[in-house]
This record gives sequence, structure tokens and C-alpha cells, in this order.
Amino acid sequence: MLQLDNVTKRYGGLVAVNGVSARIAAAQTTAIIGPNGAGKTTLFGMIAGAIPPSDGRIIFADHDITRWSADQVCRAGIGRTFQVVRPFWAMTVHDHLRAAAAFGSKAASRSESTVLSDIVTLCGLQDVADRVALTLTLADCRRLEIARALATGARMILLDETMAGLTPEETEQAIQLVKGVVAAGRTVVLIEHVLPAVRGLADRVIVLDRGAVIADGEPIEVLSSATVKKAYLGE
Amino acid sequence: MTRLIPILLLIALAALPFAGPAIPGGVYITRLAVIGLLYIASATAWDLVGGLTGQVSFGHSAFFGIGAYMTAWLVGTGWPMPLTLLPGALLAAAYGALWGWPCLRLRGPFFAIATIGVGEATRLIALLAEGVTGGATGLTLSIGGWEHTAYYLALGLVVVAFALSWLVRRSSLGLGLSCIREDVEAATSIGIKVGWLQVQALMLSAAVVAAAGGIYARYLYYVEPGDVFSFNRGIALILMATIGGLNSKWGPAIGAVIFLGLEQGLAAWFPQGHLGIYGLLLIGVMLYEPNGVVAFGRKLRGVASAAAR
Repeated sequence: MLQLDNVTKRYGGLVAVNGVSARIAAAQTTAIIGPNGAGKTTLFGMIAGAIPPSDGRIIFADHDITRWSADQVCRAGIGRTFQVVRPFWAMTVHDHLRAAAAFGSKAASRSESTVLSDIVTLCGLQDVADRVALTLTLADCRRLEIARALATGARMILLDETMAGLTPEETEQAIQLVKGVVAAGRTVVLIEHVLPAVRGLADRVIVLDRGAVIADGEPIEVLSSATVKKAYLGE
Repeated sequence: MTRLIPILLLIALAALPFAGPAIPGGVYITRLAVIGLLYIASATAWDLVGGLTGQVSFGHSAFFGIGAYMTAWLVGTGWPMPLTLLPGALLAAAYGALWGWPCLRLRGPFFAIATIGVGEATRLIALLAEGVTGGATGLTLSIGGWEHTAYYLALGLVVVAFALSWLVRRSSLGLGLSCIREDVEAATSIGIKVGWLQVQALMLSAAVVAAAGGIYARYLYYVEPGDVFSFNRGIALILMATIGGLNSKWGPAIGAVIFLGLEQGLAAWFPQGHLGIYGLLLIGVMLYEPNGVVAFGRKLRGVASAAAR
């Protein structure tokens, strides 16, 4: 579904992402992990069209989206959340979803109110649907961002540290939510530091360190590999 | 009851030109009301960009001037006056698209500064193009018999501006513009074409302000770049909308009425210093009630109903 060929981002002399190649299959959940500064969020930004790659190609559903703008990428079917939440603060939860459905991918343009209310239920936002984002808790804002990405009709959802800063209880709810998103037939790619969540969710784990892929495979083998432990914990 | 107020207000305004000669000072009030109605329509239209989209434009004087000049030229060649408003509105919308497309990539103070440049450049070009605009001497229109028509056109434009504002806010365009105001990057992440949506808002807003300029030209019988393209016209719209309440249904209109009252009073007492007093007023609003008079009124009503209980 998504193919990365030698994707690279340089900022002057600094190479943030260095020749990352991977194929991500539809209906799978892929986790991208790695220490801080490994280039995970930059890689996400390049897939989402927010950051132009310096080199390499990104192919999504047979389209070369390497040079596409963020709004084009969204309309092609990729939705995203942000590492630091970016809701539309003065707008209600419901208006977030209406906007996402109105402007998102073409497949979603017919998504009627029933689809939106399904998303509200899936994300557990029923009780706050008429509240403005400013009054929501962090956990609600994270769920709101997932709901907003879903409402665009995206086939692939990029989740950037959805569990960061959540309580253990909220983390468990977030894990259930991501499972629900997968069950609804969407392909999920997530960046995550909460390793139990990665074990519980991911079909596949890609490990980045200093911009390059150092491991790629099943969660159990990857998380126990010596290279990965070294990258995370040092010698 | 509150739903009836706009309708009653509209009926009262429609009757004013006929009642005017009968009430003391009525003729003066009617003349002033034309300017007031043009302010209300312009401020409401400005708010589509400045309030709803959150892009503060100092450059709307350019649209006002274009509309004023278009009407002056076309009336001179024998067009019926009301028809001249349409080409003026279209030209202003096209002009808005021309500079909006590059400038609306900027946000906040950077966009505001760019629009100051656009407004002033337009004024200087109009001043220097003497063959077209009459330069500093301006152009004079044929005189006589237009007061009533100008008044009703201005009243009609207020209705158009309110209808436009209401329609935009209810449409997906308005929803998208709200997203852009709140967070541009998040807006693009849900597929919003940020540039194109903002250009649409600017074009609609420009068309209404240009029509106001056209009515103003016919009403005054005279256009001159230093007046219709003046920097103060751009500032005035910002003051009206901000004092009244940005991004609200009634705010810009209420702000326009307050501005007109101050303008009449202050310009007589302090011919040099009245703009300074607007500045102080603006600072006061920003510090104590950033959401304007409308929000202040809402709070007062809240206090009153709490006290009644």
C-alpha cells in the first residue's frame, strides 16, 4: 500500500532521515520506534506531505506522492495526528469531523452523519461532541485527532505518539481505540515509545536510529534483538 | 422577540428617508445613515477575512477605491448607476485574487504588513495615474437626485453583506476557513486547500467593499485617490470589526455604528487627534474585552440575569 524508496531528509549538514526503504501492506499495523531524534516524526512528515524529502520516492496506492502537498496527500487517503496535539481549539468536536468529512478524501465525500456518529462512538467522544476543543483533556484531544483523521475517509492513518503523556488507564483505552481503528479496516502506522502498546498492537516493528532503519520485523524478535536494545539503552 | 429586532430595524431604516424631513435633524441623520450603512456592509464583509479567517487586512481600502472609481467612470459613459456596482465588484474580486494568492501564504503580522504595502501601493498608483483617475484632483460625477437611490442601495448592500456572511458561515467554506484560522497545518492535514479557500473569502469580501465604494462615489458626486484609497479607510474597517467583536454576526455592524458616532463627534472636537483616540479605544478593547462590545454585552446580560435570580 505504501512504499518508501531510499527516503532521505537533510537539513544542511544534518541527515535527519537517511535512505529509509520499506513497504507497508494494507490492513497491517506497523510501529516505528527508536530513540529521540531518530527521525521518526520527520519520516511521518514526509509521508504526510508536510515536509518535502531531499531524496527518494514515496509511493501510495500506485501514486508517486513524493512531491504532493499535505492537503493532496490527505485527499489521496492518508490521515494523520500530531505529536503535540493540534486541534482547532475554538471549534466543537462535531465541527472537526464535519470539516474533515467535507474536505478529506474523495471516498469520504459521501460520508454522511451516520458515518460521523460511528466515528464519534468508536473514539469515545459522545459525551464531548458539542464541546469546543479548548475544554477537553489531553486524552480527549488525542482521541479527537484520531477521529478527525478517520473522518477524512483516510485508508491509512499515521499516529504520532498517541499514548504519550496518558495515564495507564487512558493508555489502555487508546490501545483499544487503535484496535478498533484496525478492525474498521484502516491501515495504521504508529510512532510509539510505550513498548507494551507496541507489543500489543503491531504486526510489524521498524526501528530507526540516527535516521536509518536498524531493524525491521515481527515485534517479538525485533524488541529482543541486541542491536535494538543497544540503540535504546546504550551498551 | 429578539428575532423580530432585525426585521423592525430594517423597516425603520427603510422608512427613514421618508420620515427624515418630518423629524428634527432627520435630513442630517438620513445623510449620515448612508455612510453608516456603507460602514456596516463593509465591516461585515471585512470580517469574513479578518474575523472568520483570522487574516487581518489593512488593504481593503484598495477594493473601496476600485469600486468608487469603476462607478465614477461608468456613470461618466452613461451607464445606469446601479449596474456599475457589478463590474466594480468583479474587478475588486479579481484584484483581491491577484494579490491575495501570494500574500495569503503569510500569517498574522506578516500578512498584515503585506496588506499595508498593497493598500498604499494601490493608492500611490491611483494618485500617479492622472489620465485615468484624475490624480489628486479626482473625478466629479454628474450632480443631483441620487440621495434616495444611494440610501436604498446602501441598505440593500447591508442585507447582501449579512446574507453573504450568514451563507458563508453555514457552508463548508466557512467551516474550512475556521479550521484555517485555528491551525493552518492541521487544516492542510484534513485536505483543506488553504490558499484557495482564503482567496475565495478575500474575493467575496472585496466585492462587497467595492460595491460600498461605488455607492459612496455616487452619493458624494466626487472621487479622489486620497479619499477613497486612503490608509484610514483600511484601518477604519479593522477598528469597527475589532471594537464590535471579531467573527460574530452583529459585532462588525455594532462596531461600525460606534465608529460612525465617534467619527462625527471626535472629528469635530479634535480634527487632528481623532485617530489617536480610536487607537486608545482599540487598546482598551484588546486589553479588557478582546471579543469586543458584543461579548461585553453578553457578559452584562449574564450578570443581569444572575442578579434577577
